[in-house]
Amino acid sequence: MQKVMLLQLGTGGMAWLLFTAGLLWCGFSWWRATRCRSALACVLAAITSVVCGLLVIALGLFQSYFFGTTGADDKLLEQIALVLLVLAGAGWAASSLCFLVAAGRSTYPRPEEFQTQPPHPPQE
Amino acid sequence: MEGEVWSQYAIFTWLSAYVVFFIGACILLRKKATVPRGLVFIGTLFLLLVNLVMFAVYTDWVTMDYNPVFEDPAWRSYMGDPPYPEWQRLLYWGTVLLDVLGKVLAGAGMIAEGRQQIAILRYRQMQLFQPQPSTGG
Repeated sequence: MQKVMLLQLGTGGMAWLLFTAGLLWCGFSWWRATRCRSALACVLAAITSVVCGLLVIALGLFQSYFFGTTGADDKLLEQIALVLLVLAGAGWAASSLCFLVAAGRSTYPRPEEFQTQPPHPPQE
Repeated sequence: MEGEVWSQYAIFTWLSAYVVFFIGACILLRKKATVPRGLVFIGTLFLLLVNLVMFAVYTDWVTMDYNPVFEDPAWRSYMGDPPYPEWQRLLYWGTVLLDVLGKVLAGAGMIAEGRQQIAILRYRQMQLFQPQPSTGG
């Protein structure tokens, strides 16, 4: 494979990993902090999308190593890969929808909540 | 079903996902503007722009003749004049750069947002164990 393609795949793959890791961590933390079900649904939908994305990559590698570039089986694999890609996109869409709901419900403490309490008077 | 139709479905679902994600980032920023949320907003904005370009290319609104395989020195020596306008090369690598930048910024922002939420949770839990002022005489 060309260097330029490897560079593109490497940087793109690392960025994708960071993005999905961020989404999973953010959704999980939201769920822990607020027990908001949308945040947990966001994590689950993102996992679905990641699994589908990994399957597409695996299928692409399998196709390039075992089937070459022509033949009837390639067509079938291509169709499966595209359906998986649609599923991955649907996973992202569901994940984004849950992110939207969780963002709407996420709470942030008011400034006065962080203010230190005045010291209590010494008890006699 | 034709493969092209499925690829159009795929790009449409991805684009709609990023549109919804961007609205979520806007809501977050509007509720409380913090640095992590700003990062998520900017990153998602970049990703939305990239996906808009990809949508235009996949649906043939913008014709792209450029392929990164043309960067291979063997291809370059074989081709002579490149069979694509220069702007297509810039557009392609521009979207690749924006995509990477958007994912890194949004990912880092979401990790920071998660850390902040956990810090808030710990602070609130700690508050529960603070000694309360005595009311008895």
